[in-house]
Amino acid sequence: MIERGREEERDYFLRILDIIEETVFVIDRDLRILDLSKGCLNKIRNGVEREVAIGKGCYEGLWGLEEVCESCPVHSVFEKGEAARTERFFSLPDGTNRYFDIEWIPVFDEHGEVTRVIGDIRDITKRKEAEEKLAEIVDGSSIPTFVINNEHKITHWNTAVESLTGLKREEVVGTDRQWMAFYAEKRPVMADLIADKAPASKFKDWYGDKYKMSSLIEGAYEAIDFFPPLGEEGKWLLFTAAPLKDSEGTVIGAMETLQDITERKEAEEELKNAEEQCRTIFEHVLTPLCLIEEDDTISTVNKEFETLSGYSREEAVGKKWTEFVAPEDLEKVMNCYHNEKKEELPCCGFKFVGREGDITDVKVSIEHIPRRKIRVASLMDLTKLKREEELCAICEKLKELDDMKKNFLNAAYHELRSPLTPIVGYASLLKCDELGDKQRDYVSNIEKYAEQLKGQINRMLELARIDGGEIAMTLEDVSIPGIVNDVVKSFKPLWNDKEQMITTHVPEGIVVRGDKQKIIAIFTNLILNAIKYTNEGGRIDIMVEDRGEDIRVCVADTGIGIPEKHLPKIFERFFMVNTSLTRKSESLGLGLSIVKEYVKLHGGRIWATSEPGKGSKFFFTLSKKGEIRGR
Amino acid sequence: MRKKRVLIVEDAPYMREMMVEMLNHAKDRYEVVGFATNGKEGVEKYRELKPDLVTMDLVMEEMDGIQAIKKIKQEDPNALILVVTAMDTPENRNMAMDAGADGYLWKPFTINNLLDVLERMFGKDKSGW
Repeated sequence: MIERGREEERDYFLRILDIIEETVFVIDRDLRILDLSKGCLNKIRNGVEREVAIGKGCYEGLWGLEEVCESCPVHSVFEKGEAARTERFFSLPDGTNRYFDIEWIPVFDEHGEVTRVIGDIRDITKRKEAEEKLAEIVDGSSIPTFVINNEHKITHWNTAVESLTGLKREEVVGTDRQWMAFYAEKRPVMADLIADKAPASKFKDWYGDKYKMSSLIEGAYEAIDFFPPLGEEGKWLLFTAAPLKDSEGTVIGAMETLQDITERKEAEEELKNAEEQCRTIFEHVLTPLCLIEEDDTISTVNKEFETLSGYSREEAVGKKWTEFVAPEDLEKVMNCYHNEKKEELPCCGFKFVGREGDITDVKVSIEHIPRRKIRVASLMDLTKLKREEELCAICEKLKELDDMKKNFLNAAYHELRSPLTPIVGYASLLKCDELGDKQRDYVSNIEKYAEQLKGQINRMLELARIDGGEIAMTLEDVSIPGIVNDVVKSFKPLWNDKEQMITTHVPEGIVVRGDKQKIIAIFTNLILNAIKYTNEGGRIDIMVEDRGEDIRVCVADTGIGIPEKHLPKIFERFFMVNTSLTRKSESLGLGLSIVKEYVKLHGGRIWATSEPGKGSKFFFTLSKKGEIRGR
Repeated sequence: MRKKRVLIVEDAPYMREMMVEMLNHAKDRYEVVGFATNGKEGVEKYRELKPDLVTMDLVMEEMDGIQAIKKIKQEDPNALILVVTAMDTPENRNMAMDAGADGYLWKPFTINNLLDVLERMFGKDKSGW
């Protein structure tokens, strides 16, 4: 029964061997072939009967060899009971050269002993040849190229990629360290994504918008990126990864080629910069420019052209250039336009017609750009040029006059002061003698008006110095209540005489950073004016308001007032409200203009309101921070 | 008390005359011992006369007042010099002070102004500033 059962078993087995495509054989411990599949005979020993092979050593029966192959793992499979695998090249009896992949599978008996081994043969000649071909292509290529298999292990790494990345093939082949050449930390390279048949979203994750599908190779992707670790200053690479497929179309790995495009990128960058530079110059040059196409239409204009013509860019583009030329000048400009002599820039003057039909005298020069078949017309606005020249001359003249005025004031000051000296001096000497009351009065008058003249001359000099920017500010913390009290007190004889009432409203402890002498001068001037222009028994109020950043001062009187039309002018130099006023009191011509300059020097402003017959209010502000407003 | 001897350095004749007139009102105290019309002459006259005080104009030909003050002070640090000028600007005042002037009188001035400043210069503080 047992034998019979075995017979049946073997029968089954043989029938299976008959029908399967696989190339399978069974050997015993002596390596003798016990059975083999029909496929095996067909594929390896074409035309040989099964019976011939059975009973022979596998080396002879299958390959026609005389001895067992060197380093054949089959013995160790029998000993250790573990499966093994060999890839081997054979020259077959029929004269063909083949690669076979043989898998050795142990078969155990009931005692656990290996009694037989099944050999499973696969013909890998095509794959091997393809691999060799690939190696030949990759290694022989001058384009940096590497190949990985499905397990992301590098199989090929050519000399060109070695010199690009600095990584030797011994360091990387058989590893998955392809990222090391390009990135600071481990991440997939494009070949890895290809080998994984990754979806587009994965490419986007790793390459953002820098990647695209190759238009040349199916299933391939390419990208351009900058790799800082490469070379000394990093490199721009164009890299393309394509899937590698076996004869059945199964992806078995990926090949990636790299192209160093740093120089191209730099050239592109330079070109871009140059273009931008040109555009900027074109746009911002203070010369009206336009580009004229071959068909005489304008294709680009700059801002100055817009200003000159009155047309916006959109309106000007597409117009014929002849529309901008006055008919009588057309022929002249046409000649200039068609003159393509290289030696000199064709150039001529004409009447430029603007949007509203307005005429501007211009000069044009036309440059041909032969390769692009366009012309650049640059225009010069002669009217504007002339006007600017005139303005410059006027400015020059004004500056001269201003200098003259300054020099004159300085000289006048000295010359006017000198004769005053003996007048004042001798008047004082005269008073030393015995004089009648009348004579004493005369001398007092001389002294009084000499004093007035001296004041006027001093104010003139002060203004000259303010104009010359020669006024130095000595900054200190100035106590406003102290100044107001001192000034009011110093004029007590005056307001007492006129029976006027002066009240002050000054917050205690208010301090301003400024030039003490000038602040005193501001208060003195305004308070003195208020006393002068207020009749007897009138009232004067001085109010100081602390506004945080600055102070605001108001000096209000119940005096004769100032007509409204004069208010804006009272701070101007040499302005006097009217002659009768001048005769009655002293001039305020220069005084207020100096006050205004002093207030300005303290970062403040001054203004006045008035009701003629009722009184005036003078207001000014002073910055607390000692802010000096530049002239 | 001995009269103080004064040297007047001044280019305008009427100024010299007027100052003499003014000092004549205090003859018991002051005596004009000489004149100079420019700085250079002023320095020479100072060496020659050794006055107690010099009045010094600033704007003069040959040598200006500032140079003359420096020169005199260099030769005699104890010299008393009063600047008398129409150019009353802070710059001028600083220059005069730096040169070593002991007092400053601003034109125009009265007899009282002049006598006051002289009194102060010969007084306790020896300063007419």
